[in-house]
Amino acid sequence: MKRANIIGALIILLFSVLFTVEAKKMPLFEGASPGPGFIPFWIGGLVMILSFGLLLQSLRMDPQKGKVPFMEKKHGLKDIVYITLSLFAYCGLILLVGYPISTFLFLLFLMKAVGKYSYKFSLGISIMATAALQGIFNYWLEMALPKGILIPL
Amino acid sequence: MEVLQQLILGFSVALTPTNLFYCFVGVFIGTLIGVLPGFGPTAGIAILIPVSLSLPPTTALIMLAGIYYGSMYGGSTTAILINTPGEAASIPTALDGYKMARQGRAGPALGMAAISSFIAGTFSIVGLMLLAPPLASVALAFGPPEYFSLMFLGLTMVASLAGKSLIKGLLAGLFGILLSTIGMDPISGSERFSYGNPDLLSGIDFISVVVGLFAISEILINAEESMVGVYETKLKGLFPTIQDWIDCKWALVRSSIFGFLIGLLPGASASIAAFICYDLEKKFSKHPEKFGEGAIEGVAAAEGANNAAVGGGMVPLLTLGIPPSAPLAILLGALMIHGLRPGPLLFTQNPDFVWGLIASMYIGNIMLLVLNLPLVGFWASMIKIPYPILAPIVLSLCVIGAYGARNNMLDVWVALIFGVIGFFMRKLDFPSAPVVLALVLAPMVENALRQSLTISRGNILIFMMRPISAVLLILAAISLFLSIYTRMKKSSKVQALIESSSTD
Repeated sequence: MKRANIIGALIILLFSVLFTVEAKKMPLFEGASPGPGFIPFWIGGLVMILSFGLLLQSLRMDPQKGKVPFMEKKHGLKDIVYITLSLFAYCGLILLVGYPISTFLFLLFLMKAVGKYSYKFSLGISIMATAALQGIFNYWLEMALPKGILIPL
Repeated sequence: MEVLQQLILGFSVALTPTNLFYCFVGVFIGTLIGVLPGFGPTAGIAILIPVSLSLPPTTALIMLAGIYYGSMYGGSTTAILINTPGEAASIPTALDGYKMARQGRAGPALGMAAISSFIAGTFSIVGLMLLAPPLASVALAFGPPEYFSLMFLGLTMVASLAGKSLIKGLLAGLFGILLSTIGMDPISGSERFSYGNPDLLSGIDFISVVVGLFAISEILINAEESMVGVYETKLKGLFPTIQDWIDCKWALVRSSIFGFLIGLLPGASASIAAFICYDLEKKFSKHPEKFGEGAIEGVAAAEGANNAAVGGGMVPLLTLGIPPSAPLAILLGALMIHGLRPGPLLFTQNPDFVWGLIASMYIGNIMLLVLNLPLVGFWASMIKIPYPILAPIVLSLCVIGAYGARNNMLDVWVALIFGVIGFFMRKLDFPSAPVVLALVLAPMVENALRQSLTISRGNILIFMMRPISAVLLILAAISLFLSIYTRMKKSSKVQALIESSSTD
């Protein structure tokens, strides 16, 4: 966990440096009044200082305390990766085939790969859940759901 | 007398069939959100804001507010039955409620949780009704410097109260402020950090950020645990005994009063109110050793306090436009999306909305008592839904919520990215609430700051020269100092309090 905190602090420091540099390119003042770059510049600077403080705090962290693992249960990492990757794939698929088909495939994949349910059960739940979501939000509440380029349902 | 007249106006608005229906929908969904662990009111309200866009503003806010206070009722069910609080605000409830369930007294625990929620919730609405109008008239004297200082106080208190580390809390708040600067500058109209992308010109939508930080990241965190909720307890009799009422009478009074007062404070969430009032009740009790072993007063104190804090939190939200917690920040966002600007003018320009909302909270509390007592078996059965089935459905709902606000897939990608960011934030003990509060408040803070400096021709001392503004800034400094001091003292009770609020 100590290493994770150090990496986190470095990432925040990098982000704040980039933000502050970009903010400096905008006018900080317009006459006597603050300009568009005023808040981002000073807040970015404050974040730089605090993230440097966090970095020092993390470096001084008690090694015993720092030994708490980032992932407490290693088997969970696989599920987290499955869920994250499938989420990104899901959104990419929405752009192509729209909400209903991509939602069905997403639910089916997660119930099978993470939930470890049978194909029959996963198929049944995925169909019912997709139909319910589409019915409630698209037809009853008349909310626009994403349409795909290839199959604009 | 004028308050009563306004309240009658409010009831005439709240008792229309449409508003009654959506009040019921809101409290029902809120209870469900409270019952289901891993899905909180902040994300729930955010996901349903796009749904509310097709409704009139009053109806929409009645529904969304119902979700918030409904979730406070629902959180106690899982806390008592399976020792898994549905909300952070129900953590103290689990300490005694679950022990009572193990002793075969789950029914009276659930009954007392619902009844104390009702009593304290009703008390807090009375407090809201009496306190809000005079506070709104005081707030008419607020100018840009006072608003800046008040919002600055709110941000510092949230950042300093939330989470285990002050630096991380402050960084989270500042991160939210930086996010809010992406898009078009509201005063000069120039582009900031959008790099010519027309979708980014309108900024980062707060709904996407909330859905990512609170819903998606929660699911990723829970993927590490195998969430097995085993509902074994047979429920016998839901009503507390006469002895239970005698034991709890002062807990009900104290949790109502103190929960409401704590809810007024910027940065103080319902979970902080629950912890403080639980601890207070233990101190006042003649048998403090019973707390943690099945003391029904503990359940009454915690549940009463978290509901009383809801009404308390509505006071600064409606009168000053300052949300004291993350769910109320989302309600503020909803108000603005519906074209309502909270603040003192809301009471004069939209009295039917304000009093309709207040009246609906009375009605909603009665609905919740009916929903939570006879239907407790139904809510308990919701816990049996396996998490591997629930989680993917919730993720699909997140996509709808993120997309629905602006019908833009970019918002869905933003939600995903913030889901991953939120996961790492949770792992590294960065609180999420300050990010959301800052994202919602920062544009107003920036406007107030720039207007103030324009008025004073660049003289920053304007904030100290105006008495109200000066007092607020001093309070902000005290809040930061106390936060540093408390952490240095490493008081374990206060640490537990602070850590609990990071999950709000």
